[in-house]
Amino acid sequence: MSMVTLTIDGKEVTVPKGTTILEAAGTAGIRIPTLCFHERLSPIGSCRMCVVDVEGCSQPMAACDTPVAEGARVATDSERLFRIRQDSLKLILVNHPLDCPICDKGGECLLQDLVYEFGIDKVEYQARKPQPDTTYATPLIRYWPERCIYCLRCATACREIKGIGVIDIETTDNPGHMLTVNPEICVSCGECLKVCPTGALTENLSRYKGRPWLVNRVPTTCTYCGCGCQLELNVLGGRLIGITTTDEVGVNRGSLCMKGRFGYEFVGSPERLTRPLVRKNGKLEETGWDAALGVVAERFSMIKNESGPDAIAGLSSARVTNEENYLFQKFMRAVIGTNNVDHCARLCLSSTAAGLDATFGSGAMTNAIEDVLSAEAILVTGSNTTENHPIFANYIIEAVLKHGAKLIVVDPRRIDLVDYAHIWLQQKPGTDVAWINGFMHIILKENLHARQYIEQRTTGFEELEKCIEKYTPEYVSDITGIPVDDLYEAARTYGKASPGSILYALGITQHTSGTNNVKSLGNLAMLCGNVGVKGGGVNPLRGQNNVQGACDLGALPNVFTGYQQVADIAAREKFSQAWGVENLSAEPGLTVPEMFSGAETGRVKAVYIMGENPMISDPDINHIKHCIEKLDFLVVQDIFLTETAQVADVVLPGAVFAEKEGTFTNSERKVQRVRKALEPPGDAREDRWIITALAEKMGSYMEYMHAEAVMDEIRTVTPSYAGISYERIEGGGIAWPCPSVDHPGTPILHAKEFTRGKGVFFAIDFQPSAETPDDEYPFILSTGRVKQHYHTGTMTRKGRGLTQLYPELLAEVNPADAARLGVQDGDYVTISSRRGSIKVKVWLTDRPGEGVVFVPFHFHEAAVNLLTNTALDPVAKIPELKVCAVKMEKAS
Amino acid sequence: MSNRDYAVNVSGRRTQRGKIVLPLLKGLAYTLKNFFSKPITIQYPTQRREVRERWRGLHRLNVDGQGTLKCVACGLCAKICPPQAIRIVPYEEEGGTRFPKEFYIDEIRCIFCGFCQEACPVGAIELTKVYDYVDYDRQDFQFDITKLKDPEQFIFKGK
Repeated sequence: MSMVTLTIDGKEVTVPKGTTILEAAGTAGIRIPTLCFHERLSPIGSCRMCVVDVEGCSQPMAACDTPVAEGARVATDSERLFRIRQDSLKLILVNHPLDCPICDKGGECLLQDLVYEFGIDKVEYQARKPQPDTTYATPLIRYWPERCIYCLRCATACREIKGIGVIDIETTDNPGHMLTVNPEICVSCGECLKVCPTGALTENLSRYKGRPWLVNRVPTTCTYCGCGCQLELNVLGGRLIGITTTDEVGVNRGSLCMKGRFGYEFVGSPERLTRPLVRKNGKLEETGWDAALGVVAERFSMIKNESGPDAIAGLSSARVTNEENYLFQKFMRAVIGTNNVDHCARLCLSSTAAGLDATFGSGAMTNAIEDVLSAEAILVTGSNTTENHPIFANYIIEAVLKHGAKLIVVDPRRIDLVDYAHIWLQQKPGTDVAWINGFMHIILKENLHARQYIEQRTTGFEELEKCIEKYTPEYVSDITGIPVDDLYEAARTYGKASPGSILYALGITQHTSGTNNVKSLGNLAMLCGNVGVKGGGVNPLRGQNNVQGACDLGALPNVFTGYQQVADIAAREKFSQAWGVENLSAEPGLTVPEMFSGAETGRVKAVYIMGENPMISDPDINHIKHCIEKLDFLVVQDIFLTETAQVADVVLPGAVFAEKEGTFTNSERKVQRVRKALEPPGDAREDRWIITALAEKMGSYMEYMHAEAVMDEIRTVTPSYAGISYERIEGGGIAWPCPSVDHPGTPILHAKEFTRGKGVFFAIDFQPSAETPDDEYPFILSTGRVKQHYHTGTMTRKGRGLTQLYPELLAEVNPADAARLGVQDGDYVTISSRRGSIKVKVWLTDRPGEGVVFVPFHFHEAAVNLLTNTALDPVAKIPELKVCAVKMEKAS
Repeated sequence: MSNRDYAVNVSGRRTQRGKIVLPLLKGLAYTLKNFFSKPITIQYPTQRREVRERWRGLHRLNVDGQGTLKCVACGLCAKICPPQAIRIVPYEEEGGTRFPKEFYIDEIRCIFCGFCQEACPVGAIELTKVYDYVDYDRQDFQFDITKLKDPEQFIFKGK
């Protein structure tokens, strides 16, 4: 890169060509005042605050968008520049009221700071007051038109960071400018709110307003999806009043999504559980901790003595911290004495763990999230990234818009990401193995595969070659419904890219062929030599904040922490010593579906559920309900009285992420800190305390002074976490494996060698879903999430903000199907499967293809899991939540 | 060192002969002179001393014509308060009106410097001339909005 040398304020600076004067001054430590400039946005140049004098130019230049020139002499400060800047500010103030005392932004307002800096104490100019329409794109943000200085930061951020462009500035006669918005495409991410330098956009959710010096800002990790965004909890008088972010911190770089920024109301909800509940005479009654834990300990001990430890099962949670997951599985294994511990990863990504573990030797995301920026092609399949992992989607959009990456979307629904895609393939749900094999067929035929890589680093290629021989584009097109030409183009695009990244989520995993789908993606990535390189990899997007951590820390029936097999004698020996117990069970325990079927047959007598709601989230709820009724004893530890808690014998009130210390492990395996900002309401306690207190009641001493003490114990027994101490992750997370305290962490797995040695190609044939449409049930039902809500709605539906954006369950129906059924937008339909039926409102949209209906699973009123199929993947035991056959009728 | 060495002998001069009568008469004359003039003592609490114009006593939160608080809960008083005696929870109504949901001044912590009055951009807080608030409980010195609206009620009027 050629360098340019120039002089700024007498200092000689050498910077790469193309750098702006502002950036060059920054490297020299010279500050130029700015207002509209923002590091993450391209220069806007609307405020004229950054004007500088360049020798030889009569006019001052805007430093933010003027590139440096060789030998230029720049002066950033002079009497004249000061006056120009001061006048610019005065002109801005013409339309900006000095209502700082009642403005939310007061104290952290860029304009306020500049006005002080330039010593302006009165507004000399007058103008007509603007009176534009004040409705904004989203009800979660309030727009104050009179405070707007039309700096264009919001519009630029919306366009460049979110890739949408909801906001625009229109020039009118009176007033001079007007902000126009398009509420229909707004995703309420709050990016505009974040970048607004003044108080023109303020948060409209919390009525409690705190000044920066009044509120306590506690940095922590977001509790929603697996992106692991870093945010700050704003606490005022023991109440959570808002969420803010710091620029360039964490994977989110200051951005958040709708749920992260506005979905915090559940924390202070009056519906929170505040006291332990014990069922007496058929009713849940409030009681004290001692009594409640006494009941649990007594019943657990009784069942353990009568029916053996394997009659007790535990459901840990992907929502709680690593430390609590560790303690939970330690409690089940060491105190109860069973391996019956599992969590909801079984229902979302267990097939990933099984598939990628067999292929590469590690079931986690292979690359860091930001790696996608260096990819030449990005293949996204079975993931509605913009809605469910919005921060990851920001990276994908940035890669496409700024770095020229080619985006291939393979999805049965026309998701929003299709708008940025070069090719969109609409396969029939459940036909993933077929199109992946089709891709590989084309890549092999056209010699686009990485021959050397395959030879050196993998095995099993010959079998694969034989297997995919028959997957000609025509054959694949017959199965999947993807046009042959599109298939060619997409396969070539991915095959030619170096590197190419594969991103997938539950659309791949929640099938009876889930493990095979994942293995196939592994095949495809290895075939093109894309594993272990920056910008490549096979990346499962984790749906929950700590699903990775819960798996890592042994909340699975077959492994201890760090995926050390329970069947392995050495591992059992190590944990026996560490925990001071003998005879740890060698037999892998029950998975989630097996626990419930075990309850039905009487094999499982008691279940301890921490922070999960299987009565909404698990397939075929009627069956789950029936199984739970058969249980002798059910303990639920949660923050709300969920549907599952309502049928429990004992309910223990836990704490939310803002009320405890610990760590979460995000999708890219980064272990990040969670910090305590609030006290739990009433008598509710941290989950760590509950588990240790229960262990003590059962006669086992488990005492930790602080969450850090738990982490220190985790580090001694888990090689991949050995180097991750609280001290090291104070400033930012570290990706495991991190075997020692001087190891920097491993953002890219399998870089030199696959974890298991050589990568394995699996020859996989296409198999149809367990339940395919027929004459009686002609539609395919697919379930999933929407951007406004999260899982069983226990968090997002507790607040006003997100609920008003998506108040009622909507079934996405293709207009062609609707016309056949005679259904209009907003009508109600009855959707029935062989297992149940629900009544839902219809949203006519071209998102699902013909013959497919999509229903989110957040709503207990019309729980779509009443319909779903319990057919399991034979390896991972993941239920087929993405495909089941249903019929649809117009309801009255 | 014995006690004697540093004990001051105050009676030494008084016992000097001939020096006791004259001062006594002097004193009695002074008493007699003032005996017929108006007393300067004030019968507190039935009578109160008028304090100076710029006296800084208990705080008052001012109200506007409609009886609503002038305070916009900007928090400047809390920011500038040297002993950090002010605690505010700002609240905003749907229309955008901003007011303090909670406003506490710890009158024990307060040093009555008047900075809060100085900082207030809307003239909502003022230091009154009330100087004699007494109570039995520390907690009662945490003045909330109701108490702050009318500090004059605390003027001690006797029993």
